[in-house]
Amino acid sequence: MSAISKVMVPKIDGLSMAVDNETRLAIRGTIATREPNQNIGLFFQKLHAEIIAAHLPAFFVDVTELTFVNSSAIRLFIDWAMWLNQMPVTERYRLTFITSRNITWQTTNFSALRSLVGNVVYVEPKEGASA
Amino acid sequence: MQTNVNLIESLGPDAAKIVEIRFRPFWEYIEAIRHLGESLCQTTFGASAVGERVQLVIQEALENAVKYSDAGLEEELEITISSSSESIEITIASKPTPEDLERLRAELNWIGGKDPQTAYIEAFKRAADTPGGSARLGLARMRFEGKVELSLDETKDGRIRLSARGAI
Repeated sequence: MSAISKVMVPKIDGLSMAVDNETRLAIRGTIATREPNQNIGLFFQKLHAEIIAAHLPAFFVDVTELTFVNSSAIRLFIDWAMWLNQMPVTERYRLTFITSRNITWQTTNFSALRSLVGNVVYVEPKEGASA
Repeated sequence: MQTNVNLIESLGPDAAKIVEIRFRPFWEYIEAIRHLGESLCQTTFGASAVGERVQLVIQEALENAVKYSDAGLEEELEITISSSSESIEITIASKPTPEDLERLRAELNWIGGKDPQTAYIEAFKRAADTPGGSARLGLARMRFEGKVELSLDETKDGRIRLSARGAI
């Protein structure tokens, strides 16, 4: 088991996060807490550091069952993309968000994120999951 | 939570209030009010997309109102959801701090001159350029994702009413 799986997942009401197969983070539920940067943001930051340390070429974040987020949570995804964007190209990994076409916040926000840093963030829309 | 819920079950052709809630600015109440608003709108309009937009507007607007309430927990916030045959309106009355009122005016002015998508993408860029700062995405998100236009009414006692109106 690599250090990626050992990164402590914060416990938050209404939200579950799990790292599968060392290359995929699945996030389910809702994020509407006041300061998600203080727990979820730190978790993303540690995960990002471990992905770099493990020299993974790609990492997937499955949000198809993340049904609602506030704008403070959207900021977490922007921050993650920017950490990656600020790294030397040769050290970057491919960050892909697996999204649901049926959840409006995902289509609008990951499209906006792609317009900002489409060189480091990829989106794979899926059918099926619904809000 | 002290609530005063007036549910009008049959909406006529003219505008009618769907619900009005007054409550203390506790963060924990936001989720309950968001769910209530979404559920009422889905029931009223029979369309999940309207409920989805309404819950987004409620969350973002109430987060601002709760965070920046001038009188802290002694303040009373009021949210109303009204509709006519063609449009829906969500209003949030609160008393922000003078600094927040200034920020709110500036932000509405900043996004108001742009189309909703452009304003939201520019808000993304601004957030990306200010790591660690406040996201400041909420109002632009309400316009773009919630598909509403925003307006602000101010009274002499410092209370404000933020209105979000959009087509059904």
